[in-house]
Amino acid sequence: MKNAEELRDELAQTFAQLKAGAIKPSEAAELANLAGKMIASAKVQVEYFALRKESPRIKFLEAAE
Amino acid sequence: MKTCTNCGLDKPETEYRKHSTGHTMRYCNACHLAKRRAQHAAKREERNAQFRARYAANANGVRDKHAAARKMKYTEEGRAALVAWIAANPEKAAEAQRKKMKRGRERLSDYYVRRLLCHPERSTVREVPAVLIECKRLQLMIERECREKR
Repeated sequence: MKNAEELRDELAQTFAQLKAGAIKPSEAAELANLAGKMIASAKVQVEYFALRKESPRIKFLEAAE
Repeated sequence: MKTCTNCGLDKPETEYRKHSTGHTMRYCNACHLAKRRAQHAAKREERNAQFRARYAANANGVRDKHAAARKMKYTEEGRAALVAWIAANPEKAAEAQRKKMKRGRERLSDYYVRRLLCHPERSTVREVPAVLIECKRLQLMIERECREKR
């Protein structure tokens, strides 16, 4: 997963698999937990640049913008 | 009493309209209205054609103008009225906010997820990237599903 769009696709796939019963809830929970960490780190980056009143390109969010 | 120059009848001055200068008109009310109606009917088609042509030529202009007016109303006047209402009714405003958040939590609305990511009172971020909101929403959906299945 190199950017947020890929993370989104992965999460959507995981959700579909969880609904269908293809993966265990514990496994899905681990993935969701990991995704949460990635989202939080991206959020920190966004907040950091907002505080500095800068708007540079964030590589993780770049493909989506 | 005054004589109408159209129908020739003597009528009181109250039966006559007045010019902007204050002088009474030469036609009585009934004759004046009849004349105006006749003029309007004679030019009706011509006038309507003009209106239709103007609307067709500037349809988007008219729509944009109305949209701009709505935006103005809801961004400036509407916002000011809302702020004033919140200041006057803090308890009702808090209750409305609680309801809104409850609804958002159930539906995982954009508003709720954006607020989870960057709370407006604690964060300087004003525009959260849409993809980040979608990721967070999916993460929450998975977590909820896991909790239900366990």
